[in-house]
Amino acid sequence: MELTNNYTIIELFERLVADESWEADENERLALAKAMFLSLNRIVPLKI
Amino acid sequence: MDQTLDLKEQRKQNFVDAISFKEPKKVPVGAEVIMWPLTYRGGTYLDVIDDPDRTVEEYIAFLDDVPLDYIAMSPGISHSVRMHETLGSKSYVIARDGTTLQHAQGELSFIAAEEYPKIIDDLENFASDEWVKRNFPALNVDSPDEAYESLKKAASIFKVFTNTNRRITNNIFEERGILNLTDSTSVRFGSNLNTLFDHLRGIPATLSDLRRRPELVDAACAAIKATKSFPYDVKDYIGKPHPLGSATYHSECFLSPPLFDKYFFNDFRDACMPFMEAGVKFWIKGEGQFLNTLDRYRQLPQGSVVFMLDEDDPFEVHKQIGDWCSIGAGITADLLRMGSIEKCKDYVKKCFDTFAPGGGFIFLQNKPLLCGGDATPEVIRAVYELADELSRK
Repeated sequence: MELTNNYTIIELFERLVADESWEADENERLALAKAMFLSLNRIVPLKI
Repeated sequence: MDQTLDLKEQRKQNFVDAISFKEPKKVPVGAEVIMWPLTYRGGTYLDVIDDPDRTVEEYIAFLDDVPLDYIAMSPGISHSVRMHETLGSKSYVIARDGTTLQHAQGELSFIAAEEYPKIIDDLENFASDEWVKRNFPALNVDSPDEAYESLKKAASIFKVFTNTNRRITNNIFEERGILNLTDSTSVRFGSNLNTLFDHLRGIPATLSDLRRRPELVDAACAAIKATKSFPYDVKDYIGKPHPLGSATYHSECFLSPPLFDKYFFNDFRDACMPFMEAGVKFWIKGEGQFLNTLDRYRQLPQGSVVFMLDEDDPFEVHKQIGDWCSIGAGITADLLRMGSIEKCKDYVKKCFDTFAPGGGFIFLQNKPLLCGGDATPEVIRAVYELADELSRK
């Protein structure tokens, strides 16, 4: 599969952590984003 | 609630006694369950997948009838199929029975042989970006806004998924006082080869690489080791046999004894021995057959490891290592699925008669209950009622 874009997955997750529209609680948002990031790549944690 | 706490403490003491070769007041009776509980009342996962309340209700229903002291590993829904669908991945799908979560490893875009340098040179960058884009097409589009909308939608689904599992585990471990073997503080060990085998190169290619390009496998394992954290300080674990540490076999049953040492045991021993010497007990979740490597465990302190067996005959395992390591055994997946109730009961009795005297035994199936047909309610109740009765003698 070709990678044709000029953004990174970490940038998308940084946006997710800052976005209150899907989860109001900041700590919960960060915890969920970290868990989701690891569940997608299975190897490296999200370092934000 | 105090009674529940007392019950959980008793279960913990019995578990620790059993795996320390002391005869417990009650032999711990446990199970590993994944998706099967959702079928106990005749339904399927598809019936409840989009209704968290019903998912929780159906998942925990079997516990009203089946007496359990502990549940091994992590109960709950193992993967969010809806999240994978939203991100365009077909790697986790619901099987034709409507319940089993199938890992379709063939749908993943693993690295090709010539791509080894990507993980050897910069695994962190590769895993966190290219690997994700290759395997989740909705995150690999021209527009970052479009990718972000998919991620946000998937995150909302993931939130519901994690909340549902939290409610399931809260009911099991807090409200019912069933013992959890591990928790977030547990020392967890994973082999570097398994990361390559499961996530980066895939099963067939990794096994072939062990013969054709072992130097690349070794370099990749070194890169994986450098990326992983092992964030445990032995001082925090002195005199704490519970929660258990854990390690899970996956590639191990395919390895010759020398390769087993090289890619699993030596690293496991070096990393985990100090914790065992401090009193931590380790849960080894076996996969496949591993009778030919059990002798290695005599290098570790007696009573520091408990095995969940898989394909090996527990009576042979008990002869070989039963004086040194504890075993989880008592009923097999094939008997639960296809045996008569009488045959199941005979096997349960034989296990208790052979393994229970002197401790070193916990009751457990050899494979998790994964699929709807893995055991009928009648068989599972008969087996666990008998195990519960025998466990008190």
